[in-house]
Amino acid sequence: MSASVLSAKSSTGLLPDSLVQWTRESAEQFLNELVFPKMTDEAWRKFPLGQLDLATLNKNPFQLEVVEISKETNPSDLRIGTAKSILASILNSAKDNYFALYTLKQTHQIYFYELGEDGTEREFYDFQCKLRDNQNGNIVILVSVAANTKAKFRESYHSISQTDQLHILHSLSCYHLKEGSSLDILVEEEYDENLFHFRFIYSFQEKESNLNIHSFPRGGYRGKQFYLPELNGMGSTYKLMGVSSLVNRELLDIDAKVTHLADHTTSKISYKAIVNDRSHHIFTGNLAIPSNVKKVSAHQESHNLSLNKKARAEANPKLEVMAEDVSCTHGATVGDIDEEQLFYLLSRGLTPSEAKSLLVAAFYEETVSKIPFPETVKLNISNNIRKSVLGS
Amino acid sequence: MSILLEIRDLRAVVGEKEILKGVNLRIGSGEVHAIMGPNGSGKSTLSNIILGHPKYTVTSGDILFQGQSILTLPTDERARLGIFLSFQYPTALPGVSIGNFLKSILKAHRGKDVPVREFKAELKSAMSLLDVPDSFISRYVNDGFSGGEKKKAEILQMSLLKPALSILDETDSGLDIDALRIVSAGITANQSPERSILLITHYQRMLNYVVPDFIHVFADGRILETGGKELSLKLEEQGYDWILEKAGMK
Repeated sequence: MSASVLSAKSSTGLLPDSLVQWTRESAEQFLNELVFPKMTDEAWRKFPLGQLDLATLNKNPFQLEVVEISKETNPSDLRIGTAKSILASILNSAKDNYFALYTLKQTHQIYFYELGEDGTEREFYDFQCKLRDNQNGNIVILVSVAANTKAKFRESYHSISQTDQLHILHSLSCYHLKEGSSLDILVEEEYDENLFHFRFIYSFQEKESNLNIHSFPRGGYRGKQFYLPELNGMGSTYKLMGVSSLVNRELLDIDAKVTHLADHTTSKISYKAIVNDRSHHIFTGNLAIPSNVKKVSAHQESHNLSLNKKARAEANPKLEVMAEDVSCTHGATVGDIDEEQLFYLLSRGLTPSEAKSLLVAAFYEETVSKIPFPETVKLNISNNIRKSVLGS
Repeated sequence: MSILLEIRDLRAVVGEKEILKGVNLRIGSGEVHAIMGPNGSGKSTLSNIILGHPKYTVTSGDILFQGQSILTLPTDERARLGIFLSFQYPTALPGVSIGNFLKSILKAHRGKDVPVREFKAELKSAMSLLDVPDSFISRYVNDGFSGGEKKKAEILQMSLLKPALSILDETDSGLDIDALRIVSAGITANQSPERSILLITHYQRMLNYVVPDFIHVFADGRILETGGKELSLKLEEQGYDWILEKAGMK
């Protein structure tokens, strides 16, 4: 069987211990060169790092329940080679990112999905990760899509019980899209109120590939997420769409840095947040376009809906554009329920509470409706957001 | 004939500024009234105040609907009593499809879910009058709509809700001649001996289709002149100056 045929078959599983060990050691080497981030560092300015005591938090065992994954008994050399090459790319990109390296250094589980033409009727791949009680978690997933293949993949991270102790989840996902491939990722997160969560989302895209990420995080105590896409191949397209829903005193700080490394690449970020009670959401959109890259189109927008005067939502667009032949736009809005929209609905006989629910639903439905996943999945996401921010 | 709406010496302010300066108006069941007047005279303000817009404060006078004062009622209760306002500039609701929106407002008015089959039949009948395609239903309310589409969406809601009083605030503005004809036909189809219409307009052209029983000239926050439909033709020919002069305002 030729290598090209092998690479077009789907295969999934946990990577062998030897490769996990190599990853841990490589990450540790880089990590030894770095110091723990300070709150004066730009990326951590808004995050209460002072509340984080990694040594104490990580005393609890790392244990996660993962659904639909089997141990690999005899992975091929080619498969190991592909995984190692992706891990090397992540290490290279993460060499200044303390927490990404920390995640790789601590990991005991690396899941590797190679998605190709497998002839099955499955609507999407489903990766479910469950965190119980005060367990800590540390998980790495690699998803590689074969050339000229389309795939859909769902990642779910859930706390399945409450705890009164602080605990922590580190997760790192990396999507590698080969030439002409297309991947839709749906990420659902729902965390308990005592969870610190750090998440890193890397992607590497070859020529003419399309990556669409649909993300819906909820809950947690303090969260930090880094989206770090690299558009490496000419004509590749990256889209990030999502809605964060925060209540109580939850904090989520998202950094998205899109790096365009090839001509004719396109990126679009359209991110929303709904904040209630005293929660706090930060979205920072960064754009890096080196001077030698041409014909780039990049658009970033962040919209925020505040349902309580004490809740905070921030949108920070940052552009590092060194190239000239590019088209970049960005926009941000932060506001509460629009008075004119509210009056319009009241004038149609809806009660204030019905009108508010409809307007909040409209805010997230615009994003949810675009997910190319089955209606039952979308309905579930809508219901979860509604329950989370409106309580019913 | 019973009186549906009675406005008694109504005065209202926005901030410190008095916008309505003693409005008196009585609309009987089944009547069509038109309010005409120059820009900035307070016509649209009056329609918003009848629905209780929070931007305006009523300082004196009263509004009675079916014999009861509605001044202390919140907007949604006034709407459920049977007062409908077709907005001059209806706001967009991105994320809310027309289909879902219509179902929600019908439920609010009837106090229960409307069975799907019944809803579809009512909707089909209302849509056929307004010459709108089926695809209209899945679009977001007023989002990216042309002027004509917005007005059709307003009249579609009115046709389904069947309010006792429809206030149409410059429904003719922004319509080309075909859209004006279609929207006007939609409005007249809503006329009945029990249902009344208050039409606010700048121009006589819509009154060729929706023929009023009474025309009121509104200027400087009050009604200066009331007449029959012939008054609109005189206004079309001579403008408002003669009325303003008669009232000592010019």
